Amino acid sequence: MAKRVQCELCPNGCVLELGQHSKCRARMNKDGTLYSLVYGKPCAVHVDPIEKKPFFHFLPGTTAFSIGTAGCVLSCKFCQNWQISQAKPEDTDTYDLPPEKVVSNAIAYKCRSVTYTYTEPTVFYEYMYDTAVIAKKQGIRNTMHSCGYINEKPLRTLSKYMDAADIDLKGFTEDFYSRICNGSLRPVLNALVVLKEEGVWLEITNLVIPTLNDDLKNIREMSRWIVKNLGADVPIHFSRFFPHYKLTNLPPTPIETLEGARKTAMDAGLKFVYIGNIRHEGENTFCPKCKKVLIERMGYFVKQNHVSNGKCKFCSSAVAGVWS
Amino acid sequence: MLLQITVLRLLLSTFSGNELDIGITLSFWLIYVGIGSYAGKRILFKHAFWISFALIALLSLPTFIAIKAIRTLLSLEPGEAVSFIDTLSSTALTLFPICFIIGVQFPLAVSYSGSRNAAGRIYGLEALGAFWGGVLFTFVIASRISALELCLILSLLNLMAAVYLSRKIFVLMLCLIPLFFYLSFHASAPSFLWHGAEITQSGESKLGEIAVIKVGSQSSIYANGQLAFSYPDAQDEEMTTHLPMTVHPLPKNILVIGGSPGILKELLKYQVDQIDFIELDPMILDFSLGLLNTREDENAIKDPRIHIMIQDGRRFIKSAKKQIYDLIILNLPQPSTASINRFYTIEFFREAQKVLKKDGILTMHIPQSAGYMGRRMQTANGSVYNSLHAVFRYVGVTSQEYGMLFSSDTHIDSNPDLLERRFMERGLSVRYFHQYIFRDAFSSFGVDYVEQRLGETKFINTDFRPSAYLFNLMLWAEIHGGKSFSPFLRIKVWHIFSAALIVLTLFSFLLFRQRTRAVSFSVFTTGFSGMSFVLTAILAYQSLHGYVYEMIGILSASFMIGLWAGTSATKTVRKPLKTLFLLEVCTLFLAALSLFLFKADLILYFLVFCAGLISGAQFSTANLSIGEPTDGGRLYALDLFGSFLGALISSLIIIPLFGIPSALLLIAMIKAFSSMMILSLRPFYTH
Repeated sequence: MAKRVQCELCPNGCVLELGQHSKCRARMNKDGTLYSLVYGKPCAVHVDPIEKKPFFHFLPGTTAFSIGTAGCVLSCKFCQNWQISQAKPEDTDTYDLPPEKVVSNAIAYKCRSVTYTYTEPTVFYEYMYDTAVIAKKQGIRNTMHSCGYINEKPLRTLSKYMDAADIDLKGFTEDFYSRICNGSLRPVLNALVVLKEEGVWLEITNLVIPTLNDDLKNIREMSRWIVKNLGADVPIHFSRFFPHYKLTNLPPTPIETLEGARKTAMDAGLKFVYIGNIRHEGENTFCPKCKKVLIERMGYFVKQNHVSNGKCKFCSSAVAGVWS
Repeated sequence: MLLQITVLRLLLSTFSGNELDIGITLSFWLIYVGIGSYAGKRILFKHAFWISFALIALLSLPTFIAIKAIRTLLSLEPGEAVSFIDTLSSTALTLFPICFIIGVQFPLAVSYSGSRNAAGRIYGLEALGAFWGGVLFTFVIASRISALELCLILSLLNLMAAVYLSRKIFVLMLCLIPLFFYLSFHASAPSFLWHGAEITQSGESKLGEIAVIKVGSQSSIYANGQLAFSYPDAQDEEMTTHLPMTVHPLPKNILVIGGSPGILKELLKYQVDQIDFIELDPMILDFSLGLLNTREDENAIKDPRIHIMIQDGRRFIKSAKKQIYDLIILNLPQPSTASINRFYTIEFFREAQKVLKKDGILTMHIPQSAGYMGRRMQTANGSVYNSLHAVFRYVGVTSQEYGMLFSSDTHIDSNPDLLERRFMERGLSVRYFHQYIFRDAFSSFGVDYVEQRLGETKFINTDFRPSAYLFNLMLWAEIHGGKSFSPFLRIKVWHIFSAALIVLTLFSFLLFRQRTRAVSFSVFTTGFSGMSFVLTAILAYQSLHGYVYEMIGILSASFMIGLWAGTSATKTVRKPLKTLFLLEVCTLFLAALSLFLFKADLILYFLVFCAGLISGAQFSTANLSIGEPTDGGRLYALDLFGSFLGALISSLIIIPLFGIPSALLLIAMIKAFSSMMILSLRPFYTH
């Protein structure tokens, strides 16, 4: 009995017997101690434009040194990274990259930030935390792309070092989260509020999946919730779904659906609403005040940027974000 | 037989057109019928025979509905693929009742008729019925009558048989039950599958069940429940077109195999001389051309430079003699079925190379995953990559999420700056494609990673040993959390053959000079090799021609008419045991010969016919040489049990892992052994 341990990192709250692995596959009980199986062992390492994360209001036009390990706290049927997110760490081919090396690589590749992404960074929390501490010391920013399925306490601790977070808000019903993702919505909403309180720069991504979460009524409700609890300045990205993982026979999202979602969110009062995974006017940042194009993007690339010192070049009104 | 084909096709489309299902379905069908016929020996009450017909009538529609409802019952989301375990278990469950009854019928029929060698005769008659079923299906029914209606008709036919046998009119009243099922399902059918998304068109073509499903103003075409493409999807049309077109410095003559005709207007934005667009399935083409709704698309298909053809892409390329194309765009899904795998084999690449100009390029998609390629996907894609490398001097990759492979005999310069400049100079009007895509697609960091990952694989994908198909099946298994397939990869071909050798040697102690046992064993191996042979032929056909869905009826019919001819030719043989021995030897030769003859279309049918002929004759002579009429049911069950094992082992293990030649060799080996056992019974005298 004494050798049983509970992981308190995420809402799954796995209670592990000796030798048992957690639901996220990245942690296990060895002799009564909880171990991370992925510390310093990322399987995906890339230098990506920060726009690919996606961050649109965080150092635009810079690159991010991006790492991810095997494992995830959820199991979404549409996962585009299922080959690592749903894999056991020992089934993946990994790099040997301790925290110091991540930061020195980021500097060598002239990246302004390290991004913890690809799978769910919560599963490699200790690795992420240690890397973030070193990065911060050396003037490299820390960003993460997460599903927000993490408990409040570890999230607040991490927030001291995290400069920005892009959180997947995958749907706005408990039914969607339980049926499609094997998780629940409430902890995600809670994490969003905590990040806001801790002053971490926040962006939200919503993958719009035909017939599963494309109901405009839910999107309206979600947008209103964001405006009320997080503020109208939080950028939201509506991404186009492509057939992946278990949902390979579902068609890609019709463009009109994405446009409908964008309009709905703007009508609900959100100031920065983007369309992702497809080239569209909705990739650009418009000044909420003078409506001029502030940042023109094409895919992951910035064509022109009229934000200086955090202000619109044309009307000098402040634009929310981290610009330098 | 009709029912069998219908069920087969239904299951095929429920499980996304995977040919493995043919093997799985047949296996279960056979084992259940076998169990039924074994049990049937014990059921000898008075009205059993006609009641069995009535039961079949009552069960066929519910079976149909059960298959259709599998997706809903498994609580799958729309567009979610079915896992391997679910495929197995749901096939096993839905087929049981009806197949069991069909099996029970055989011994009932034998005792109903009651003459000498009745089993052999009824076996032959059953085969003859099955033959007509196959022929009718292929030529009359396949594209005219829906599966649902066919089930209804079959129910009614069976009821009529029941009425005839029982001489009781009230049995006819039972027809209300199938009618009720028919009507109630007919009304609710569409919403079953798609949670309300609208099915605008559907039909059965030679490739399978084709449907158009509409979400908003976007329509998507499905073949056997598998997403083919969506229209309009301007983003996809532009991506599919402009990346390959920019990689070629001066594309003039282009061949497009499969996919959406929406890309034609994109291709016409270049100064091209000729565009050949090939689609195998007339119904897909018909539906997709019917969907086109912009002026650009409608004008494009009228353009004189565009030739739209309904033909098999592979046959087309083989018949083209000259090196005419600058670019071949292979716009097909992944090789997750044997029929699509034909476009990813080394043989196809060689054929494509012959119609490409010296600096011509062949392009195709490969799925990737942002940032990481798992081991299973690595081998699946790697075997295609390797096969390309074996044929073309230069093979390039991109590092996007939906990656591409470029192959040519001339070096392809994929420097992103060069491509960006080339694309801008051409001054095309595009909406979704843009010059920065090249930076992403050809970023050296990403390309190095993909090349290194793919280069680690050593497998080659060929027509008769479709490794890419196998790896895609494993990928499919992995997607559904099953690791169950991985140990299979470690099986080596000599494992199978030595295991077979050991089992056979052990058997020989039991069989040597034991008349009944040896003959029974021969019937068992006949079932094994007959079924295994037919499946091998089906897969060979699929690998070579790709539309087994249409021809499966006629292939099985060839076998069945062979069976019938075999049994009727040997109705009264004087020296059954000797004949049996000769027939065993024939099978051996047939298997060995087929190694070389499978490639020709017509000979294939003939070979299948011969296999049927020999199997039928073997069954009948075996029955005669045992000489006890009541043993018919037992032999039939043995035959089916053999067929079950044959279907299971060859379709799940031998053919995918070791290819068609190994499957034929195994047949030859087993038959060689069984003929030796018969030989040990010499002198061949009859009772």
